[in-house]
Parts: sequence; structure tokens; C-alpha cells
Amino acid sequence: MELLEVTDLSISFGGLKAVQNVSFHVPKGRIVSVIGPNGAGKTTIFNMLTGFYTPDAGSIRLDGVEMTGKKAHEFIQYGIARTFQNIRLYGQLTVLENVLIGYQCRMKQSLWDGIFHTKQLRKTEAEALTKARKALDEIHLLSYEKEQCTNLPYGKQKVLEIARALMSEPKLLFLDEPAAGLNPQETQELSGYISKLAGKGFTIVLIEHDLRLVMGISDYVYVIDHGIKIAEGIPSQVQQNPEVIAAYIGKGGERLHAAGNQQA
Amino acid sequence: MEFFMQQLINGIALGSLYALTAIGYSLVYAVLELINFTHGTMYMVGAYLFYIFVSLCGFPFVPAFLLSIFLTGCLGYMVERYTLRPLRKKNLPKFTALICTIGVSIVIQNVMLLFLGSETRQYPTLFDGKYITVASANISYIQLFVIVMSVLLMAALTLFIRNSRMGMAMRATAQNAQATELMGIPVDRVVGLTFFFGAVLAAVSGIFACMIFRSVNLSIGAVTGNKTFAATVLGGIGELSGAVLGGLLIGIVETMTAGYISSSMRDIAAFVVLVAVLICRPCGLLGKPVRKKV
Amino acid sequence: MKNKNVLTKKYHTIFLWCILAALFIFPALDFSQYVYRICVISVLYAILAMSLNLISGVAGQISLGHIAYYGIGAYTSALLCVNFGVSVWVGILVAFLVSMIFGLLIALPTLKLSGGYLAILTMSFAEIIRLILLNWTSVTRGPMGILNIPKPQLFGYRIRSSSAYLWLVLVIAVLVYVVLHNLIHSRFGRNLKAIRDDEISSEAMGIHVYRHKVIAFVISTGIAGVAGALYASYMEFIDPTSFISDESTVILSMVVLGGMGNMKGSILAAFLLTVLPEALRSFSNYRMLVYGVVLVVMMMLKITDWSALKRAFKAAVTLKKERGDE
Repeated sequence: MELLEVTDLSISFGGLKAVQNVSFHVPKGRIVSVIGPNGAGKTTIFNMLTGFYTPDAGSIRLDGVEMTGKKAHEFIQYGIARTFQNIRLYGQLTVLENVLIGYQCRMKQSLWDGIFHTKQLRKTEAEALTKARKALDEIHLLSYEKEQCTNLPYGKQKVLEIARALMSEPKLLFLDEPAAGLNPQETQELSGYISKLAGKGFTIVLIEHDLRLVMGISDYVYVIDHGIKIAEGIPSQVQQNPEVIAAYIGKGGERLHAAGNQQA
Repeated sequence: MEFFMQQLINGIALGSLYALTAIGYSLVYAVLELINFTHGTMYMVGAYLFYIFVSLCGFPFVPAFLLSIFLTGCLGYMVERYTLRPLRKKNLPKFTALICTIGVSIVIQNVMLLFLGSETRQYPTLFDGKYITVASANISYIQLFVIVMSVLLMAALTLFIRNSRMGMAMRATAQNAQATELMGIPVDRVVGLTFFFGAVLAAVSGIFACMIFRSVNLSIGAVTGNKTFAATVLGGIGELSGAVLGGLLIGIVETMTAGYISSSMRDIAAFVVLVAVLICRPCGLLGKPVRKKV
Repeated sequence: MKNKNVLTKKYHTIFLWCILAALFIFPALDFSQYVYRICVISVLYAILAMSLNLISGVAGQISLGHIAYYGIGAYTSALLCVNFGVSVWVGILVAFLVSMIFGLLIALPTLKLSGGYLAILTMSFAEIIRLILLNWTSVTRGPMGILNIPKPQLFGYRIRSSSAYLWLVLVIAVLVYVVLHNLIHSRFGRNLKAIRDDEISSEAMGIHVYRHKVIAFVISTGIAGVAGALYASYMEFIDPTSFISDESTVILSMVVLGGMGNMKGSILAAFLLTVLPEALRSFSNYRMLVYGVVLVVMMMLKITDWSALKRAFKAAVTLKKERGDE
């Protein structure tokens, strides 16, 4: 069953056609990756899929619900959560508070509950706290819950950002270059974590530069270049595709081979 | 019609002074994203220094003028160097620097108050109130002089920012201070110089304004500060042409309101126009909307 | 370890109750009315600073025109009481609502903007309000101000003296504190802090950023209106000079000094910045000068960061203890 269906998505900025007629679909419970060289339009696609840009044409259907035209803050209600390329945690808040924000869209708490600290507030806050602590425990950050999140090492911040997105109980999780800026060991840990999430039944869409990570964990890969989809398939197919290698020409192409060889 | 022309001329003269001050505001905002509350104070300090040199020390006009704008510029530089720069190095909330400039301007104003007292003083002026009549409107020599000087200064400044190395460094810093620093440009010096130029411009317009009104007192800084800030935002903050347009508009609106409605409304008019414009065009008249970076 | 935490928390609460009790006993002591008068003004500033802290400190939206809503509240209540003989309590309530309405009117267009634009719009709006108060003489009597504003009556007893009035404002201040404290420690308050730190990722987390800002702004202006109404009836006379834009910057400096989002800090800073100029009154020439210097020095020395101070204090205490142990 297809969870996300994207058809003929296009957007242009001024005269520049950033993304043209891109279509793809994401089945439930799988890891699907969108790859492509720098400036290919991956993040632009992402921003359309999460409501930050409104596409000029095309449709985005989540579980049969049309998502285009909805505002960015509504997406999470429907079950789309995301992370950002450059970590966007709340710098002045603690680790715990960051995770709690992820759950805010599921909390049934009105302004009045807030002002008068009603029973409802105490109930929802307690529930949120338990859930947040559990989530932190899973990523081994529980002992840092009172730390300001900027004090964590970079790799931990990345994981924390994913944990924050997961708190919203999403149907679909978008990860924007999760491995960017991580060292090989951290990348390894991260890929383990992502595979574990998929094992738990989460559906994940990944935008990535690090082909090793992508090829290792993806079920299906789409390749974008200059705003156009140039190839798709399971990782081993995509690796052989001459057009993809051409797009990644030079260092990237070699890296792709290297990643493929390692796989084999 | 006659009356209209007269008010228009008065408005342009006043507006070109606002424009000069607004450019200084805009420069500092572009470079630091800071609302610089000392700017209005510099306007007042410049005007007073000129008064001190001419009326109290008996200097001739030109050296007194140059000396006072230079000293005001140095004061502006010092404010940046000794209060804002140390603050910038620490990672503090945005408002800290803003409150700091408020504190500094309170200090400067009160030091002036201690030495000079709060009374309004008669200001030295040029051309003894002579005027020419064009299209049945009286343009005083000093107004004409002010308009011409402002146009020249603005042109020089535009050239400076477009073409000189320093101007380029300023624009680079405004775009991205961190990247500029990495390119080997001494950002601190650029910021310091921006404050220097800002203060010089404020001093020039302060001196000219007082020549037109023929009086000076300690409160002129605060009043003009608010209005020129309004002018800056009206035109589009960080845009030099915007600051000029905003300054002229505010000046004209002010004199027109005073002439046709009531002089007690003149101060409201500027702000009403600003609020109306910002509601319709949130980035100001000439400001460019910025796409959210995700 | 956990036990110790609970203990310190308990002491903390007891400490707070003691301070509160002391505050309420204070008016019953026999200090001069002058002292009580400064206290009333300090408490009014504390209310203002707390309310501004919600929008500027917690939500990070700079407002340079907070005094306008104080003025609107003061004039609303004063005009109602003087012209229509309405009870002061009703006046305060109406002031609350009217300031909220004005807050909403200015919030709707301005809170779509950010940073400098927001600052200048709030400041301009405050200027417009002040100039209207000054020039609409048929209603506000302009610079002559409004005289003979009544003091509130409670159980047939008119709250006349400064010490009695201090009780009244203290009760309201505690109420405001509790409401704001509760708000900050709820989903709404946490979302505001998230907005302050990163609007884009707040949106991605499903926070309706604009609506949150508007609500926070309106609550903040409503509270400022109540403070204004209290001020009017305390002074019995108001004129537009009490609502100049310098006052807005004074309130903002209290918020920054006390720490962004820190309500207790705001209260402390409000007292400090009200009492300090009074204490310097005998050097009246140097008063504002010293005030300015204090502002700059406080900003420069980062005294605004209470948590850093707390950490330093804690470190000093543990150091002492360790030495004692040796």
C-alpha cells in the first residue's frame, strides 16, 4: 500500500525551474531515498513535501489526503514530520524541552488549562513527560535531559532532532541530510538507528549526500538532477545506471562505485 | 497653489535632512541588524559642538563645521568600540545591544545637560535669512544650500559604497559577517567605520537643521531619532535609496499636515503614514521581500 | 541525589512563601508614606515588566511601545470613572478589555513582521497613542490631564493611603505572576520559547507561530492595561507625560536586565530600576546619568544572565564546603 504519492511536482523561482514534473511514491514501512548532486533540487522537493514551499503544479497525497495548499504547521497533524539539513534545535531550551515540543501537536491542552493549571494540564504534561523521557532513554540521552541542547556533541544533536520529530507520532518521517557533518563512526551509528526505526514500522524518506549511508539502508532510491528525476530503482540497479554515474561524475562517480564495491 | 509650493519646498528641505540621518541608521542596521539609539544623540551632539565652536569659541564656520562632524564621528566610533564590540563577542540576546545603545545615549545626553543646561539657545546661521522667489514660493538661501549639500553628500556616499574597497567591505559585512571575516576583511574595523560615517551624517544634518530652525536644545536628538528611524523603515530598512525616499516623504508629509490640517498633528502624521505603509507593504517602499531560508 | 533535589525544592518553596508573607506584612509596618509610594510604583513597574516579558522575553518579539497599553488602560479607566461615575473595579476590568482590543489591532498586522520592523511599528503606535492623548483635548483634556480620579472602594472602605494601596497592587501582581508563571510552564509557554529560538522549526513541529505571537501579545497588553488603570486611580491624576516612549525602553530594559523569560528577574529588575533613581534623588543632576551608566555596565558585565550568577554562587558555596570538609 502506498503511503505517499507524489505526482508531477513542479516549482520555479523567478525564471529558474527548480523542480520539474517529479513523481514518486513511498510504500508503508520502507526507507526511500532521494539522492542527487549538489543543487539538484532535493531540498526544494523536501520543502514542498513538508509545506514550506507551495508547488506550482502537481499533487502530494498522504494516505489519500491531498496535502498541497496546506500550511507548514498543519503537516505534522496529518503525520508528516521532518528534520533539517542544518540542525534546527531550540538552542536555549533543554534537551527534554526540545523533545516535548515534538509532542505538542498531540497534546490536548488549551490556553485555559495553561493559565489555571487544570487537571487536564497536569494529566497531559505528565503523559508528555513520560513519553519524552522514554524517547530520550532510547537514544541514551536521558541523563542529559536538563542540559541545554547546544552543549551536546553534533552527532547527538542530530539524533535528538530525529527523536523530536518522532515524538509527534508521524506516519512519515523526512530526514534532510542526516549524515551531513558527521564523522564515519557517527554516520555508522546513525544508519543503525535509522534501520532500527524502519524495523519498528516507521516509513522514512531520506535525502542524502552520503551514498554509503543511502545504499546501505534504502529500499528504493530516486535520483534527481537539475530538478528532474533521472533514475529510480533498488540501490544495486541505481548504482549501475550510467546516467546516474554521469550526474555524479568525477569524485562522486568514483565514490558511487566505491560504495557499490563495498556492498558487493 | 502658492501655499502648496511653499509647504513642498519646506518639506523637501526638512526631508533631505531626515534622509541624511536615515542613511546613517540604515547603514548601521544593514551591517549589524541593530537599532542604534545613539544615532539621534549624535545628531544633537553634532549640532551642539558646532554651536560651541562658533558661538562660544568664535571659530569661523568651515573649520568649526569640519571639526564638529569629525569629533561626532569619533564619538560614534568610540561608542561602537568600547560598548558594542565587547558585547558582540559574547553570545547575548539581541536586545542587549539595543538596551546598551539606549543606556549610552542617556549618558551622553545627561553629560551634555550637566555642561550646557537645558535651555534653548539661538543658533548661528548662514545667509541672514535671505531668500529667492521661485514660482511664487520663497526659498531661503539656507534651505537651498541644505538641499544641494544633501544631494551632493548622498551622491558621494552612494559612489563610495558602490565603488570603494571600504564600501564593498561594508556591503559584504551586511550580507554575511562571518563569511566576510573569513575572507580576511577586518569586520570590526568595517563596523567601527560604519558607526563613524553614521555619526558624521547625523552631525551634518543636525547642524543644518539647527541652522534652518535657528535654535538648538537637548531634546532635538530624541524627536529626530524617532522620526528618522520611521523614515528608514518606511523606505525599506538597509536600502540607501529607501532611506532617502523615506526621509523625503516623512518631511513632506509633516509640513503638509502642519500646513493643511493643524500643526499639532504634524508629529502624528509621520507615524500614521509609516504604520499604513508597513501594513500594506511589510518590507517598506523599496525593501525587497526576503525568502525564508529553510 | 534525588532526595537532595526534592529537599532544595522544598526549601525553595518555603523561601518563596516567606518572601511573599514579608511583602504582605510590610504595608502594615509603620514606614513613611513616601516609602510605600515608591513600593507601589515599583510593583506597578513589576507588573508591566512581567507582562512585557511574556512577549519580548519568552516569545522573543521585541516591543518598544509597551507604555501605550499602560496609557490606554489608565485613560480608559480614568475617563469612565470621572465622566460616568463607574466604580474603579469596573474601570479596571474595562481597561483590561480595551487594552487587549488595541493590542489585538496592532498585533494582527505587525506580528507578521520581525525584528526591526516590529520594533519600529510598536514604537510608532505608542507615539500615535501619546499624541492622540495630547491633542484630542475634547475628550482627554490634552496636556491638562484628568483630575480627581477616584480610588477604589472595598467593603465600604476606600483604599486611600499608599500602604493600603500597596496591598491592592501586591495582590494583583501576585495574580499576574501566577498566571504568567502557569502559562510559561504549559504547552503554550513552551511553544513561545520554541518560537523565540527557531520559528521555522517551530512551524515544522506544528506550532501556529503567528497565532501564538498574537495571543501572547494580547495577554501582555491586557495586563499592561490593568497596571495603567491601577496607576490612574493611585495617582488620582494622569496626563500624557507619563506615557512617553522613554518609559517603554525603561520597561524593556527591566526585562532584559531581569533575564529573558525570567519573571522573578523582571520583578527584581523593576524594583532595582525604580528604587535606584529615587535613591539618587538627592543628586538630582546626576540621577539620569548614573541610570544610564548602570544600564550600560549591567549589559556589558552580563549581569543579566541570572543562571550564570546562580552557577557561580553554587560553585562558590561548594568550594567553601569542600574547604570546610578538609
